[in-house]
Amino acid sequence: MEVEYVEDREDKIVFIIKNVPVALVNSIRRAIIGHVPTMAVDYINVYMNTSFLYDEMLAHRIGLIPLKADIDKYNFQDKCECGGEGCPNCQVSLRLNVEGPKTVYSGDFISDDPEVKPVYDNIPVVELYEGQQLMIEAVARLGTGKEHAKWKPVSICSYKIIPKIEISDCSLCKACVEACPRKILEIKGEKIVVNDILKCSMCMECVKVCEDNAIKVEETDNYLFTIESISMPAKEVLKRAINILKNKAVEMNEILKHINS
Amino acid sequence: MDVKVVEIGNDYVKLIVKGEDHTFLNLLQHYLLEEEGVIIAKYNIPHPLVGEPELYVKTDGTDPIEAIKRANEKIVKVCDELLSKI
Ligand code: SF4
Ligand code: SF4
Ligand SMILES: [Zn+2]
Repeated sequence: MEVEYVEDREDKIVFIIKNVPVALVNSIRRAIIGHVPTMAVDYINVYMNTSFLYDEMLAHRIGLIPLKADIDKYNFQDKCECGGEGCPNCQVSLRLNVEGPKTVYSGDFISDDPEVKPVYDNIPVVELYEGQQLMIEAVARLGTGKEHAKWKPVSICSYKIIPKIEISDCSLCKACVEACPRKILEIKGEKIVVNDILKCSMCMECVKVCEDNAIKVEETDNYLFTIESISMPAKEVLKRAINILKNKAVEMNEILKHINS
Repeated sequence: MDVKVVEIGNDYVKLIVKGEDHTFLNLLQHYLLEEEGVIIAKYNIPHPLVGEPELYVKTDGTDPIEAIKRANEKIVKVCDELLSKI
């Protein structure tokens, strides 16, 4: 197993992971999308809404605002001591009290916990005109992407196989060079060379047009993984996902100990 | 996670793994199949929302529960290795 970073920023990482089974890579992807918890608005209490948007529309728009939070500080509501009723350990209220004329932005919310706040302050929620007013309490809690996409910690999370392209007995007809939609094949001297293998989408167009069956595109155990995160660093998302998988295995073994065979 | 034994014998076991889905079970299945002595390892999710996934393991005589434990240990090892490399 080897990991090599192609891009390494706080909010986006692209890395090559070598010699691992596809089951592991796919499980990590699924764990990131569906199991890493984040904070998002669950429901809103509307005390006053004279804007042009219906309450439901507002609820939907507010729900999709990504929130930054220290997620280890909060409990999942169904595992909290309060028994799911809602308490300061498992939920946060964000209040909005604005009057038009004004465009309401995500930054206008006043949070009970100053650490829980929108990732960006400039997401428009609704435009208010003269005399229109909004009085809303938005209640945020922890959730996972399995429940609703608003709890996903990432915007992009995908992997693809890095193929191996082999060329032998080539007649240099150039058909594959022209057929490749990503333009990664090139004639250099007496040979076809692959310029950027990471760009190859395995569309097999080059194999289809090659009349001599000279080119082969094969799957490997190497993957290019891309994560673009929203509310926490991309590496942290990855680490949390791997830990989730690990804890599941540990938990299952714990349970199996008590099953005598 | 909640594990219930539906059927068990010397060389096979059928479990219900409540609360899990493809995320974990596909990984477990992969490492079970790598395990020596495991002939069949398969999971089935009867319904994506309300179903309780079943895991079926058949071996050539080795203890199927021990095989699952070893597969889980392998997952832990792989995860630790990956964590140390990122
Ligand atoms: S598989 Fe598709 S993208 Fe890759 S080299 Fe061939 S034509 Fe180009
Ligand atoms: S299509 Fe086949 S024969 Fe023609 S240049 Fe490409 S690899 Fe060579
Ligand atoms: Zn609570």
